[in-house]
Amino acid sequence: MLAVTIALILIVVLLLLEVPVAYVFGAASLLIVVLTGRDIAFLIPYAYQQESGFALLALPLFIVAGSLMGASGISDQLVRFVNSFIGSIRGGLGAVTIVTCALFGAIAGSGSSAIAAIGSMMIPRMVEAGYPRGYAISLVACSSVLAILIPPSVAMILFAITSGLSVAACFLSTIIPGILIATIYCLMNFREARRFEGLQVEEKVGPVERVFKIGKATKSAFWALLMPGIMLGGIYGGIFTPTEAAAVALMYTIPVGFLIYKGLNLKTTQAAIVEGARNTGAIMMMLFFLFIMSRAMVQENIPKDIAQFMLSLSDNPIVILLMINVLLLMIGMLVDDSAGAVLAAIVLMPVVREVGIHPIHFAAIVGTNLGLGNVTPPCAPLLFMSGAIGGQTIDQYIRPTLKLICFGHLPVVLLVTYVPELALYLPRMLMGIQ
Amino acid sequence: MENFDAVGPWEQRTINILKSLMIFFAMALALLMVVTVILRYGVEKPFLAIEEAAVLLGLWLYFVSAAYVTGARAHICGGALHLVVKTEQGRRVVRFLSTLLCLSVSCVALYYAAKYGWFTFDKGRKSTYLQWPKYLWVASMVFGFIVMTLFLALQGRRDFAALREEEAHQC
Repeated sequence: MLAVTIALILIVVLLLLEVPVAYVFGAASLLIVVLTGRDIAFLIPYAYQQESGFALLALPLFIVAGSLMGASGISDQLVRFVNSFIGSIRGGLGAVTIVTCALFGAIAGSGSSAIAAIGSMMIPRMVEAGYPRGYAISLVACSSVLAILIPPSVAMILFAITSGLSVAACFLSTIIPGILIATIYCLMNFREARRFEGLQVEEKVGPVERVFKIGKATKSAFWALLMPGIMLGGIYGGIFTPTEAAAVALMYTIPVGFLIYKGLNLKTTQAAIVEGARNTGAIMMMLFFLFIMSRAMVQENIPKDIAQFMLSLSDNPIVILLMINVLLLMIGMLVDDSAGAVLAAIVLMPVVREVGIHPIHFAAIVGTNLGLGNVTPPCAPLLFMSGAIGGQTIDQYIRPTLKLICFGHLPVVLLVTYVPELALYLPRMLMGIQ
Repeated sequence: MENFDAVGPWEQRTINILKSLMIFFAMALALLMVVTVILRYGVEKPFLAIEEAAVLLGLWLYFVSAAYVTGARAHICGGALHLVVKTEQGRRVVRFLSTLLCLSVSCVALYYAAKYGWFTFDKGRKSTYLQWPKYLWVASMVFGFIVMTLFLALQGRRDFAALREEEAHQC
């Protein structure tokens, strides 16, 4: 236990010093191995074997597909589509941002892709329409978290594979929490919009013209909207595995982006594939060392010790769930969602099993908490990314962000934690999970 | 974000080659998976060896991309250095030490990866369906760590030079 405590301190210090996350876990694994006198020789082949899994191939394919979608012009069509429904309400543009992020999540699966695709388009539009820039930045950052919750989600793929759960069931577990957060954000946005002076609202049109406008936007967005249908329909209809669904999505984006939305050309396609592959490389390297660390920890019985320690503090499930939430939030604040998902699976899954929490319920707790951690300073990668796109420093957007977090996201985290049905309803109904 | 500041011509060339390999492996993998779906449902002739080939392409994609990410200094990082270390000189020192740490970890990983690679090569094992030598799969890991270690060594040298230059300016 002492070796792991020292390793955990090393991890926190190195993360704060901006040492690459992959190597932080590599150094911590080496430290554990050295301090416990274990043999390292089989750990590298172990990590290699773990990365050779067929199911893990879904990850690069979804990531590259997400990058291609971001560059293909699909996001523009999604914005127009959502705008045709709610654009003429006061505060409509803010709600368009939230809903489009959720829809983009159903296509791409990563918060950073959502910010890059939607944020760069919506922040200037919202500012032009009279929204304070700080508010626009925080709304984009907080809404981008929906991409982690609405399937497909890169973080959920990693969590499912690392903890040996069904990827499809983990995808389903975060849908209701995602919709809940989106709804609360929309309501908060409409309320906030009342305060903004000089807010421009799209002109209201008659019912016939409105139907015509919606029809036109739906027709334009048809190919973009079809994608989640193909992917998720294919997975839950048993037509293809998540890995194959990711490949189909990737191959679908290319003709749609080239021929229909015309956002893709040879240059943008190459750049998007390189960006996707680069993200894949960064995640896979981190995962490689995380697998080593997890093995070293399992050898030392650490996850079980953590479980015993938590149970020694309290055997009340409510208190234990609260402790798990705090730990997950801290993990989310220190590392990004993909590393956080793997860490949660390695460190906390044994605790969860010991306490008797349903693993799929835990998947939803992990998803919602890591999403929250990703927009909570000090690290908050999604928040800072949105700030960089919006061109402001954190002091200018921290207030609206905290408001959205405290009154929008946090209540859903607690709801998901203490009402398991929110996470389990869809997996039970669609997959018959007990 | 990539950071190619002060990258030498050989490094740049290697990065460009890695970029092309990444595109090739990603597209080949996607194509192969689509072919799997078509074979299964279109022709109703599943081809088991595709799974093995897909993993081969996937592994090469992972490690080539990881090497590229190292060369481009685009690894995922935490983000509180500016809060912890206030001076630019201090941050340079931390960055140099960070590169040294990464280099050490990479060297250890390379040593054991090479050992495992040699073991696989020596045994002459073959894959189940394709009957291709197993070392083709393991070679991706060895290749990845070799390139990562080289990049990190060059970055360490550059960071050290920058540190000394800064110190000379201050003197």
